[in-house]
Amino acid sequence: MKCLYRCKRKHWGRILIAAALAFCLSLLFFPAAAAAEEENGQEALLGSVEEILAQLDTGALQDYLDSLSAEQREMFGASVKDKIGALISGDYAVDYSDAFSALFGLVFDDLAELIPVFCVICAIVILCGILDRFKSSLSGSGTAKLIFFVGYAAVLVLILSSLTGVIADCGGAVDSMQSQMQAVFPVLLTLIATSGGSVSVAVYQPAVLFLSEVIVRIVAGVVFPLATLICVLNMAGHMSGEIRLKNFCALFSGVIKWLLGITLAAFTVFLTVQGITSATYDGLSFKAIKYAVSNSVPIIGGFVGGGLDLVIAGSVLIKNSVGICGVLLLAIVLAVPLVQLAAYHLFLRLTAAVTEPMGEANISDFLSSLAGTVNFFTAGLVCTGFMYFITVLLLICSSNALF
Amino acid sequence: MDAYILAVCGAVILSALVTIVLPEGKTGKFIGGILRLFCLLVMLTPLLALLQTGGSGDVFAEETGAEIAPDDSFVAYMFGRRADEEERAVRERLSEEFGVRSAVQIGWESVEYAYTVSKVEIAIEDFGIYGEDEHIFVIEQVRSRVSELYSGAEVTVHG
Repeated sequence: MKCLYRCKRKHWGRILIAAALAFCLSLLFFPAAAAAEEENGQEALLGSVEEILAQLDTGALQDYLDSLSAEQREMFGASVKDKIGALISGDYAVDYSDAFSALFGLVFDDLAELIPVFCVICAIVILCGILDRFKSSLSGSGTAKLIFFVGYAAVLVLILSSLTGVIADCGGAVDSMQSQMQAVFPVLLTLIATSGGSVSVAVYQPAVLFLSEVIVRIVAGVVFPLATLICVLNMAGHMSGEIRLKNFCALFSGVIKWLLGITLAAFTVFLTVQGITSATYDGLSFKAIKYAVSNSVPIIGGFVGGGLDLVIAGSVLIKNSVGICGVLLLAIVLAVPLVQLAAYHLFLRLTAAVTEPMGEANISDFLSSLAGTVNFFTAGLVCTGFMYFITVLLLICSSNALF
Repeated sequence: MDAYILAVCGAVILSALVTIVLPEGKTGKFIGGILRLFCLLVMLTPLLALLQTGGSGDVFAEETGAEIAPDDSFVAYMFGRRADEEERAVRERLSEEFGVRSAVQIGWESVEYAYTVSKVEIAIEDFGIYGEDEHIFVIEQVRSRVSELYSGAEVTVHG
């Protein structure tokens, strides 16, 4: 009996050991099978992406890219479709050290171009200051006023010659952003629609139209002209002590601040809330359809739904890449005018600081006020760019909730 | 807006220049006062008119005319591909559940860029193990199943 019991135990023991060995051997083979399936899946996905990309019309975006300067095109690349393909396959990488070096180089180049202007302004202010010391020996205060006016006019001419270029570049940047929006948004909306985001399209279409028409018009048609007017009022107000326009400048400054603040806050909050809600709804609708179609088919990995997934996933990948292209183009278009404005602001502050102890207080105060006014151009550009960026970000994230 | 700004700039600069060259004395002060009133009128009159009319927004009157709408032809292409994939999925599902070989045709439409299946037509080519007297039953089963998947669509099944 005991021997029979021991034999039975040995028999079960052998069976258990054999089962364990078989299980360990099968574990060795499964990862290879899973890796092979994953590779096939990736190839199928890339193939689907190439087919979809070939059909997508990116003519408007390519035309916009061709309208940029040669340096801007070099930063992005010659072809939009090639860039989208590179982003999807992960071939694209940003060299951050090169980008920062280029930016710093741009700042110092702009400052270097302004050095001659700075020297001439300092020379004029010193001369006016010296002549002002000898005011008592000159006949009447009318001559002193005239001397100041001539010096002030010379400074104005120098400042205006550089300021007009900066303002023109700001206006050009806003127009460029508008053209970009009109090229990028139709492509993004198309890809959201084909990814199953019909509610998102209904939410975003009026919003992007509002951004590209109304908000750009507010910035280009109200904010920039008012900022220009404040510059002129500053120039006139510091020309003579008789003309006091400080509070007018404050009025228009307040209008600009409120306008930009309310527009930015309202648009961003409204769009973010609407966008998140619509993305969640689209995601639930799509998952319900997918589950209904591929529900009870017992195939490993649910491959029956895989064909539908490939079409949708390809669309989502291309949409995300187009969004990233939009962000890159935005950075390229905004970088130069923002750097110019920063350099110009620094230049004005430096000149105001240096001329303050040397001569006329009016000239130093004018330069300081002008430096503050230049910030409104920066604010207008940054607000428009930020709203565009947030919109593109929401469009990228909209149909990612499908998976 | 541009005209308003040009008018204000012109008035202010003119006043500033005249103020500088004005002689001192009562005449100079009188002319300076007139010029300041003139500047004030030039600045405030359009603003008052704007507040009264509520802002016609000539700033917003011009539109670039560009249309921001999805590309209909690309949407049609993608929806067509989606329909092809769903046809394949339904074909395989019917084969698994009922053991029949069929040809599936899905009619779709784009309703405000939403993919909507309007019609499903199934032609059963091979009933497999089912005998002829069971065909009607199988057709009914298939119709019922596909109607569950695509509620709201017109489902036609024939052998």
